[in-house]
Amino acid sequence: MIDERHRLATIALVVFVVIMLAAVLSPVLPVHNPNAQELLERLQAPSARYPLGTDELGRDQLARLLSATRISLWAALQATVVGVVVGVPLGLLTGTVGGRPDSVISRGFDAIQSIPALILAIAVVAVLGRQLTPAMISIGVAFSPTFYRVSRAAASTVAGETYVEASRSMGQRTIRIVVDHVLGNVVAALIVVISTTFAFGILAEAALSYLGLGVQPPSASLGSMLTSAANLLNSSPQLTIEPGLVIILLVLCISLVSDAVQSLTSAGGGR
Amino acid sequence: MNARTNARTNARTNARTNAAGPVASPAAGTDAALSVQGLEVSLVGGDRPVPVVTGANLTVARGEIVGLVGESGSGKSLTSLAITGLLDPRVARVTSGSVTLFGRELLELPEPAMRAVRGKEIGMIFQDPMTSLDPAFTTGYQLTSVLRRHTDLGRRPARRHALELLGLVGIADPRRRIDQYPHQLSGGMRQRVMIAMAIACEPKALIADEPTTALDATTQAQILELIKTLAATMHMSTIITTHDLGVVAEVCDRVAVMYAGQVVEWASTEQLFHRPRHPYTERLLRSLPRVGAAQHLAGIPGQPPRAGNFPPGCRFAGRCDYATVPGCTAAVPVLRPLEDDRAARCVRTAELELTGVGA
Amino acid sequence: MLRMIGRRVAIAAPLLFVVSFLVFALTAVSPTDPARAILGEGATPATVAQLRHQLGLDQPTLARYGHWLARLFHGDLGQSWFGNVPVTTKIAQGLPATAALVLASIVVTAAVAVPLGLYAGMRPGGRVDRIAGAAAGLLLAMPEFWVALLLVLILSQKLHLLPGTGTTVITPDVWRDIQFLTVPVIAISLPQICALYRQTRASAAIVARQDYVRTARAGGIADGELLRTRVAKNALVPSVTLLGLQLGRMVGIAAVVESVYGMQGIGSMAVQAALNSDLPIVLGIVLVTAGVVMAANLLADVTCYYLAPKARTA
Repeated sequence: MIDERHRLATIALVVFVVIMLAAVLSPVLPVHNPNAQELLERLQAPSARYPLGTDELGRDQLARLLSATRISLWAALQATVVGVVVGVPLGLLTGTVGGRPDSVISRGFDAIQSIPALILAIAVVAVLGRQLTPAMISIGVAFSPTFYRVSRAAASTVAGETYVEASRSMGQRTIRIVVDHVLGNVVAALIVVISTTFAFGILAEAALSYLGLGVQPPSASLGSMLTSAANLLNSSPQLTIEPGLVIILLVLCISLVSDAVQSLTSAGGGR
Repeated sequence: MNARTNARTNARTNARTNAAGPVASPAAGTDAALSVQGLEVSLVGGDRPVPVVTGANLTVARGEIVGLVGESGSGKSLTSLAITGLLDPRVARVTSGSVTLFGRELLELPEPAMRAVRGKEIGMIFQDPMTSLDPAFTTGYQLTSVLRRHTDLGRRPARRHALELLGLVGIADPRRRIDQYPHQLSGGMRQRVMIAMAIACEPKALIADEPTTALDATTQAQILELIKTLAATMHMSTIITTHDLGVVAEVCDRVAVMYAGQVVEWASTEQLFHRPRHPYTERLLRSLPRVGAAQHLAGIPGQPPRAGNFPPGCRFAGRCDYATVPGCTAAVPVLRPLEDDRAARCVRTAELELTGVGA
Repeated sequence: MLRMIGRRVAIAAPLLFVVSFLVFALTAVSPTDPARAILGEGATPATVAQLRHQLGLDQPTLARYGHWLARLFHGDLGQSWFGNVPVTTKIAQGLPATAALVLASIVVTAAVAVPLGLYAGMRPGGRVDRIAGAAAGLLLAMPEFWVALLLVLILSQKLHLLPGTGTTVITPDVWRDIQFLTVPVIAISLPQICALYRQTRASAAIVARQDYVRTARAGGIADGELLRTRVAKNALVPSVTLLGLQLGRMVGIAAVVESVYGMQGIGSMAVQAALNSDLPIVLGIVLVTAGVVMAANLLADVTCYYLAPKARTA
């Protein structure tokens, strides 16, 4: 039933969903308390009791990873939502209406796009304070130009079609028409942008938290776990490798699923 | 690995004895500059190769222009690509047959040797001049790269030569055109540039794959005239593939008619038009619009069989007015040589009185 | 051609203006009071008020923006809130390191991804294509700083092949510089190589199927030369555009990688400044990087102009 080529993507989807569920449900799962310190058991290698070992404060790595993943996923979600909320409505608007608003707003997004995403994030964090949410909002803003462009392109294509004129002559408001017709077209393209943004959100959150600009203690994300782990790189490399592998796994799964969706929608499903 | 290596084992033997049969050729070799015998091309890419061309035979003398006529899907383009070894190996390859140029077997050649032949001994022009020239390079660059590939001309001499060539193919103001990009030229001019590239090294043979299909009527006539002149003055053995009998009437000396992957009739242009010897040819001629006579264009009902679905017998039998069962449907007819240097692939050719056009 | 460059610059200039406006907006929005930040916790309200007046912070926003812009035009990006060093001076100090890092990464990325992509595109389904494609998919998912950390672990600490973290990057000793830059450059380049490879390969595969490549083959041109000339020139426009974008991304990624290695580039400087809430430095770096990104995209555009004659309008 599932296509050969897409078997890999299906597996990826399943893996991603499993990880996500595990992370989200981690408080109620039968694992150790991620914050419980057992200083006598610090820096242990993986064992039966601690499947992934313990960190420098004796906390169970597995539990910490699950809890950190939850935070990282939540962060990426924030970034994606911000990107959508900032970029899509404006894109639909300027795509339909064009003219002066189009020039001005597009210029604004061009300017945003000329600032490297991480630099923009660092700046916003510097201004608004070192918290995870502002950092992810800035990542969302950094990605909003892409959402903007895609929505605008879809809207302007539709707006130029003749059935818009026809509908308008029957009394429907242009915005309404565009929304009705465009959303279907735009969704396929947006899926790709959403997944790219989400994946990048995971990576960006990791980078920012690693630098100390994102998640603040006592919360821990995959990135901030790497900050403390980096100091013990030589002695306990597993503390560095494990969070990284989780990040890679998440991003890989998202990419595989996104590629598959892309080929499905462009191959024949289309609109 | 090489389809040509496969062909090597089959070439000599098959040329004489395969199902397609021997071909009426002007004396086995001496006048025939370019000779195609029993060419078979199959489509690859599925589980097994699917034969699509199963009997292409034609010979071209020096300076002669042979037309290869057929509807789309008849295999004529694949045949012309096979001759120059330009089949995309992921799509199709030659499975047997022989292609000789002045006695030299081309299908046996390893790729580096074939590359030396292409452009130097055989030139090829293609159907769509819009897409067949590189948009990122000037016409001069594209011309001189062919020249310098096969000769040791330096940059300046090559450019001078290129200018001459552009003049030879009838391009006005060559000095300006040589530094222009293809998108700055009209369709007719681009086709002329392609012809210039093909004849740059004075090849012995010229293969033109539907050279005028994408052009408007006036330009068509000019380009055909140009090909005709060049073939004569440069003594090139020329093959023109086309679906348009008008093209054939205008420039070709001899014609091979292709249907469903096989040559079904082989004759001089005059013979073909006046008295066809194959029912398919007759139908083709009948569908030519005739000035004066009021008639409806007679199309041929039905479709030619596609590769992989060839019937066991004559492939035209399903649409043929004269087909008999089981005479025509039992086995594939052989391309039988007839009098006057002709051949036809029809078991009833001797008894049929087919009508042509013209006086 | 000069006209085309002029046109592009004319479009970019207002963009820089918009960026400067965004930057100023960020300053205005910030809850941090510059005067208090400079003077520190122990300052009396009177001193703070005095400094605010000196800095012109009590003026209406629009006037502030005007003055700020005027200073900008004179190349004055303000003073750091820590130590009264002009922002421009500090940025100039950090620029060489970041420039070396980013330029080296771009060169490495292009040098690896483009030839591989072109080759794989001409032979889709071949061995190179399949192996490289799989590797690319995997490597794209790796966070750069994590790779950087691992490389430090493996190459420096375990195998002692290359120097690990250090501070100064640009020294007269070129060989030492190269050694030091190797690991960070690899870390930054790996994911970018994958992205550029994919783009180049896709483009090359389309070009290789085109009729004009067949025409060149009919003239006897060999595949090797086809690849280097015809396919390259026709296929590389999207890749060059991507490279321009990637340069911008690398500037951002450099911030993290510099921090891993303790390099004193403008990236790590921005991070430090953000941790210290030293706004002028951070925002100055934002402006500079935006300018760099625009310059990079302009360069990419000009290159595309040369590559694609058909796209040149009048």
